[in-house]
Amino acid sequence: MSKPINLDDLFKQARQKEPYYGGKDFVSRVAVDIDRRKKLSKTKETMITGSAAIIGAAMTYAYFPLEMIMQQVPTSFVINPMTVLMAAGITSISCGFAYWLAEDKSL
Amino acid sequence: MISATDQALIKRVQTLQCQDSFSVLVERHQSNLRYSLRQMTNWDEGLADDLSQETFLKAYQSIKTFKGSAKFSSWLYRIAYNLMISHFRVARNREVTGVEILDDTPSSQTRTETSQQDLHRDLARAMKVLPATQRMALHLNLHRELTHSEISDIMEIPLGTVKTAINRGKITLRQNLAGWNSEETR
Repeated sequence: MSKPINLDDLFKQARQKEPYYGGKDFVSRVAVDIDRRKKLSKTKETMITGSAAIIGAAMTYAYFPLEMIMQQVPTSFVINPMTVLMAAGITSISCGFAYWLAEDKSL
Repeated sequence: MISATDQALIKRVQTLQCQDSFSVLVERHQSNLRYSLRQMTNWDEGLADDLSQETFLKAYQSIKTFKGSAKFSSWLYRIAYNLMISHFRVARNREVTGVEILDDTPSSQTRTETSQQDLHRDLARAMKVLPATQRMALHLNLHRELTHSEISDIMEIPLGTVKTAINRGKITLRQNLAGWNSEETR
């Protein structure tokens, strides 16, 4: 009659003889895969944003009372110190926002 | 960076999305994971490596959810286990619907390797008949020497289920390995 197998000994033996798999190829495969998925998600993100923008623009064009608003736009501007200050403020805010966008990699 | 701890590397990946740090983590853990998945997949090297690759990819994508309460390797095993379960589920469905009949018979290469009484492959073959839960629990317990509680966390099953899975797995494995001569592998 054969001796019952001792699983603890068997697994200990397997643990001691466990092969080491060289990682260079595997690591580069994973890195390539991560890059590929990143690009893919970037494309997906752009497509979703683009589609939403197109739909939004089409709806705006169809329903927005553009002519009525255009009529209210003044035909002449008077440049006074307040206007200059406002323009400077808007420019600063826009630049600040653009800088934040550029710094934030996830966007 | 090579000598940095797992925690430090994970922090860098989480805050700076540093891919180099993640590569160090991959390098550090890939061998163990690839071996474990070979044991889980009847030594199917291609499948094991694909699942390992997918595991690291998923880990990278969801690294921000890693809180550090468990070991990184345990977290990897959890991802790998879930991927393995879904892979086998899809494979089983394919088999049932007749889309693809899985080849369960060992290839000629495997047969040759088995005849050489290779310990690792023989263990993988013996484990093959066990349900995935028992297989994973047994491997983590006997090979990776994890506690029942750690296995319960990794597999997200109750402690009692882990104990039952290990005990039942051991009984089946003993039967499957009866007559197996460990001396031949030395």
